[in-house]
Amino acid sequence: MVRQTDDYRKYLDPAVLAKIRSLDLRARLLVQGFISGMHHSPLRGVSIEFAEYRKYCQGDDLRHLDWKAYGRTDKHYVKQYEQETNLQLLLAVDCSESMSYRSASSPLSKRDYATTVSAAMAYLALQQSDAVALVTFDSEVRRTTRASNNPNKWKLVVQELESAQGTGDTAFRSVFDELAETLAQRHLIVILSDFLGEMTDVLNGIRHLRHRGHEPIVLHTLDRAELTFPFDQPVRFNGLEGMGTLLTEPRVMRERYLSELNEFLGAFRRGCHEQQADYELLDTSTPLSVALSAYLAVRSKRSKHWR
Amino acid sequence: MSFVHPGIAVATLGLALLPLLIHLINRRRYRREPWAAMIFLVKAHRRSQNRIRIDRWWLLALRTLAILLIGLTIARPYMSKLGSGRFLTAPQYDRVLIIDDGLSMQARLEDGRSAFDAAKKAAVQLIDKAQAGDGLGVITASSPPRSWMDQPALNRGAVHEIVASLQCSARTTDLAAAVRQASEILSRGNAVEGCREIYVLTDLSRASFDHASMNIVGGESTLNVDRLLFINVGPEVRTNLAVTNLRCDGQIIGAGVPVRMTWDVTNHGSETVAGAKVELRLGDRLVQTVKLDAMSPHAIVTKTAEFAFPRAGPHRVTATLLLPRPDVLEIDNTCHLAVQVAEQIPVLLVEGESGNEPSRQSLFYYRVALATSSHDGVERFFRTTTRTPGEMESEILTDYDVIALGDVRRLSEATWDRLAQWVCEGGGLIMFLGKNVQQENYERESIVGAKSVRLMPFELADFVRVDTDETIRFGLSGQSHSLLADFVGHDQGGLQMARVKHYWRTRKEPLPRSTASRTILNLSNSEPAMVASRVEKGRVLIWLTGANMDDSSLPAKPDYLPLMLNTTVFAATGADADRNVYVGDFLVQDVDAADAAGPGTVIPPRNGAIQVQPRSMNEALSLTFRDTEQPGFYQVNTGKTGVLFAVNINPEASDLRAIDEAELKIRFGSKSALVNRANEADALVVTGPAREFARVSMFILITVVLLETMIATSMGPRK
Repeated sequence: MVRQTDDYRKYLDPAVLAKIRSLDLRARLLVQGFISGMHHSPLRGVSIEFAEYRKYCQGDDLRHLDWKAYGRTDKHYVKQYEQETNLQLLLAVDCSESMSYRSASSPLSKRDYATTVSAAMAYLALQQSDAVALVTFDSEVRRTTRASNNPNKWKLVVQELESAQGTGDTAFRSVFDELAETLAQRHLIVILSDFLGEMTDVLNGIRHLRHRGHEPIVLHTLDRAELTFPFDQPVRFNGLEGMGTLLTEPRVMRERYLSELNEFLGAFRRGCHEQQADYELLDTSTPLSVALSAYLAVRSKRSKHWR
Repeated sequence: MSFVHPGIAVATLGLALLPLLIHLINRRRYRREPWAAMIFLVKAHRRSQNRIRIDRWWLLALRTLAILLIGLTIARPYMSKLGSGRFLTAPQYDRVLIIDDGLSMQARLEDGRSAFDAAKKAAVQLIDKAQAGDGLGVITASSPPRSWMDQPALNRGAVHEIVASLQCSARTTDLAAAVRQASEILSRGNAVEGCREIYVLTDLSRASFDHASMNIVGGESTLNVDRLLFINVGPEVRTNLAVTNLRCDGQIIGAGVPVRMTWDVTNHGSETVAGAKVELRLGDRLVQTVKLDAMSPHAIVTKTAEFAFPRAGPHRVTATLLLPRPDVLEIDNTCHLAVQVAEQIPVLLVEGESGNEPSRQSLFYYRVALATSSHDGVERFFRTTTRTPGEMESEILTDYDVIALGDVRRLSEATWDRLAQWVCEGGGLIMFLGKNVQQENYERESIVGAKSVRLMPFELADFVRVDTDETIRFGLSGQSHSLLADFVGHDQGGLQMARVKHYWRTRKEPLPRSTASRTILNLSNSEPAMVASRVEKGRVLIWLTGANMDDSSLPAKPDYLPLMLNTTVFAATGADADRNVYVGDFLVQDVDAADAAGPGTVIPPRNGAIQVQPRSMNEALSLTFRDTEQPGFYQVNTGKTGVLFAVNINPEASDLRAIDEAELKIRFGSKSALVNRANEADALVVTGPAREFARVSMFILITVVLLETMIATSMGPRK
């Protein structure tokens, strides 16, 4: 009988993750899956304080191999270093009503997707001794947690995310202004939202954050249906956040809708780049590793920069 | 615009509402979907709202139009009143096919088919040649013509079925009446002027055009037709001989008495025929074979043969023509005669003047003349009963075949009515008008059934007493009636020697209602002496003088005896004349209500017995049999009574000579034309371009469907 080895990479699939109710378990499995798929670990070795030895594994950087230890013991050990806590991660999660949308073909709602990604990032960051803070918002900032690199902090973050239930519409400008004014230190701010609002408000808010020296990462979270508009029969659309109703013929509307959407997405992406904010479009039916990769890529870049 | 299938067109109108209904239903059937990205949806909706609305109405209109076009294509629309070539189509034609199914159409063609088969084949070709949307009618021309539809029909399949079901009859043809009926059918059609046609499929035999109804055609101006085409489907060689008019003269009384049978043979062909002979049969027994001399074209030969019937009762006599080479029409080579041999003729003598001296009695000499057939005191041929006018009131008239009124002064109205009823049923009435007759009492009308019947076919003017110095006799010059045939040329017989002493003069003015009467015998001063008339089934013979020596010296002459016997026998043959009829005539037999229980039976020449229910007609019970299509003998049985009928073809129908185009134009006008070959008939059908919209509507339908597809696609592909 062949024993099937556990492959955590399956937890990158939103459809699989959706079957797991617990957000903390969902985040842990996601990070495990994410890490097991990497060829080298970016989590260690970026600090100068030695921490411990561990056995060499395939994929480890040969630069970190302790040749002296090899000479003494004839075994391969890798030196591990204590990381510095020099990164403040702020997770800003949109919990407005529009984030609750989930199409029939999507396993997760936009909010579930965003909270899962946020929890996983928080877990990942705390594993690296980064300080993590959380802000949920809709028309205003709803909940905030203080930044901390205490691993126990993660439980608090998860609880806050699970309890985040926004109902109103979104006021990006005021929320971002408030964050910019209240955050004392520089932060890496990961914003998870569908950004269905006035684009100028969003971009002005990001500009304000950048002006205060923060590093915004825009994770634009949209449902698959919002990106493809896959309807054929007549549909009465009930707008969330008090946008009214519209009975229409989707087949006739699809082309124009997608045109409007893509125009918006293009303009928003350009706007973010102009503000030197990283932008990533997340489709709720695509693997969540994309979001984590985006975070890590930025973190790696910032670590070198800040070192 | 009309439709071949109007029902489908009506249904299509209902179905055309289907897209609208689906549209309205779909507006109520939609999913509900919560939606976050309304901002883009609303913008897209604003930009495409107008176009969506226009496209939606276009689609709705095109889909409705598509359904209409599908329905129209199936319903096969056509235009009927557009006029020639003004629009998409040529006008609708209405055509009536007159198919001659008379006797002459049974003639064999060179290829073995009958002319009627050729006519049906030509009719099928004509029907096939007609365009969809053309109206078609069918009339069969045997007398009386029958129209198979009231107005031109569009369903060619049904017309085909009618033509396929037609059978040739043995009747005469009445083309004039058929053309008149066809004209009436065309008047009820939709075709415009110039598009109404009649095709007559006939052998053009002369008799078909000589019917009495030819007078009612009334020339081309009264016919509602633009083209009258006669198509000759008859044989090219028309050799035909016919035996006709088989008869025996007078009533046959008593078995074993020699009688003379007479018949005619006519050569209707254009060639001399030699070696023909006629077999005369009594039942199945060959009685005599008579050879005929060579018969020149169109010659008529009358032949006779004498023989005696072995017993009283009904007899079947057949004359069959045997030819060395078959002619084209065989059915007229046999002639049938039903003969009723009577044992006696019962005669009721009503004496108007019954004096003590027998010779003074008005019918004394007449009774003596009838008594000459007695043998050893036993009346052999005539059984006479003498009554006074008063006694006649209670007499049962149906016990007698002949009633003679001898100078009867007057009869009661009831007696006249009974007498009229009896004559109508076949009785023979002989009236001798002497000096005692009350003029106004005789000149009356009786109501029999629903009809008014007058026994005296003229009005009396005055009673003339001839002066002694004046001599008036009976005159035979110019008389040709069979009753007097024996006396022509016998000047010494006494008929023309007898002096007339009294006579009734008649008015010259015709009666308001003419009756079929004929003067058989005149006086030397040209006044009528004896007039015969037919009243329904019976005969009335009126002597304008009395039968006594006081009225004329005729009773003293030798001719008196045979003349009275002939007169009596002639009067008695009234009922029997109806037992020899032509094909298509009805067989009518009076039924004794006491004798007949239940339906009567008719045994036709070929088929088995047919039950026929007697019906009440004119307060009397009678059995009527209408299906006399086959020539031959028909045995009609009602209760204990059996009567034999003979049905023959009309001799006129045997004349196969065709009329030419000039004669046609005289009869039917300049619109008529003659085609001498049946297979050219279909080439003569006037055809135009397709008049139906089916093809056009199909093209429009395809265009509409393509447009609909284009618009639907442009509105957005299906996901």
